[in-house]
Amino acid sequence: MALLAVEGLAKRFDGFFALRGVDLAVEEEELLAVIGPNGAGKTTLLNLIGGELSPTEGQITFRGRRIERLPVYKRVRLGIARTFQIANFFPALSVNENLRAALRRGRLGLRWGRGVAERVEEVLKLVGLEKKQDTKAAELSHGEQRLLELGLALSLEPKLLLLDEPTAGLSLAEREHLVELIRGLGGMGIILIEHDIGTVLELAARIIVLHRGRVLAAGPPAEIKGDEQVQGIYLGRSDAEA
Amino acid sequence: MRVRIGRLLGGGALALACSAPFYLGPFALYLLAEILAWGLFALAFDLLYGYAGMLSLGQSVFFGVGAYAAALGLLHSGLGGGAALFLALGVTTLLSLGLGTLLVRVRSHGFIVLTLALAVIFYLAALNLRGLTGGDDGLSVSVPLTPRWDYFVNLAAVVIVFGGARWLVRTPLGLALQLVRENPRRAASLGYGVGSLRLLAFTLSGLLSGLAGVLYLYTAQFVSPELLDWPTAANPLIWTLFGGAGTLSGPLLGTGILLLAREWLSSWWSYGYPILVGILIILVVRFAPQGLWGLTKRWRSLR
Repeated sequence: MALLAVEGLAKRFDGFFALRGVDLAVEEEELLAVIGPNGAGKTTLLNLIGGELSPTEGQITFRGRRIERLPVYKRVRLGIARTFQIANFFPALSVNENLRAALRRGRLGLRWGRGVAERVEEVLKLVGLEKKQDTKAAELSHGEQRLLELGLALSLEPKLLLLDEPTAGLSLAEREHLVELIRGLGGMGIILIEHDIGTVLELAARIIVLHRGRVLAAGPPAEIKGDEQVQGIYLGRSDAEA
Repeated sequence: MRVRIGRLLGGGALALACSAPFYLGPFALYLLAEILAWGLFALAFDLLYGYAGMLSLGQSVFFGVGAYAAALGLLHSGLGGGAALFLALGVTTLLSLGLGTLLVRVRSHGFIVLTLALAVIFYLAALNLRGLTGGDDGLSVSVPLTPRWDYFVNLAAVVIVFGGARWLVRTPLGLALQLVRENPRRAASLGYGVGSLRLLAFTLSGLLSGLAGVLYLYTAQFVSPELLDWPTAANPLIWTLFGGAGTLSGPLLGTGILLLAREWLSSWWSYGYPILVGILIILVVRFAPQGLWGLTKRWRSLR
């Protein structure tokens, strides 16, 4: 059984379909990349899986459980975490507090419990923000904010991680650091949305190409690279841009 | 260094407050007891607005209902002061839970307008339910507390609630409330049920506002419908902004300074008070947007 199975997923906004008839599956520990031109429906797809939006049609099954009608926080507690395209955290709180909040995964309570400080240390080390833990999140550089964004998602110990353009706006060195970090992540399935084709080809086990809300092609990187239709509408243009 | 100065200030203020009954006359003591009750109200407001980020202009409802519930308990049910207090706390908790369930679904401007409307509704209802509330005339009660004891009761309540609130905001629950203020959408994506957190903040603030209302009643020995009206709810907003929202110490400081200023100013220029306080508030908001407590923080971190 796949970790995540999406069947016949559709989302309509004011009479137009942002997404239509999308089927996909993510296996445990698999990294699936979703590419496509702007407006292809990539972020809508993540919002539907994460729960920010609910689908017009179709079903989403996560670890054998139908989740398409669950609110965001319940999906998070089941093991789905995401990062956002625009860094999205708690600006007035310190890096440490941001991570603590994520580590609790919505459990309230009056005590922090054992091991929270250690877990914060681990995540700080993993993403490389050890020296910034007392800094207010708003005062981090753009690159550091992306790392915090990923740290928040990882603190949730997800089974499925949704990454929405994690390398957007990063310098080359920062991008390499982040790619290494993502490559090293184990124990979770990942859906990666990414504009940078280099990053996608480096990381993905399988690629899905979305175009105008539909799945245009799906397969391993080599196959997608060779697909003429894909080259025509996406890869060619993106390569030219790069 | 910062911690030490903060503790020094707090310890000094507490020592001064504890010894006040031994060198102040009954009127000054009465004034301070009343300021403490209002300060508690401001603390309750700060938890809701400064921490959970919910701007309510209807907290007067819980303050007033708390005062009325205790007064009715004393007058009609023959309850003692302690029992009437618990009755009032029960009533305000249920009321804030009930109203909160409806209100917390509404965000930002809608929430402000609805809470304001609620205050007006409760005020008008109290004004017209003369049999229950005494209408314009209000209700007088006599509480067998000497001014000195009444002062100590209020002081103890403020110290306990302040200590409890400072502890609470550092727990996972307290941090969760701040997540809701900072970025509710992200809070949900970290597994937090934003709706229930908002309800919790609203209920807690309602309960504490009710407690403040009861303490006010026991000090003033009088309750009238104006306590329910929205200007009563706007006061803690002004005190909190003046002292510094989201700091707990700031609202207490703001309440103390502004109410003492009112007392002092109104004795030689009775109509000028609102104008002068208005000017004072504009100055603070212009030059110290984090409030007075924020200013001391900035000063302390410069050292």
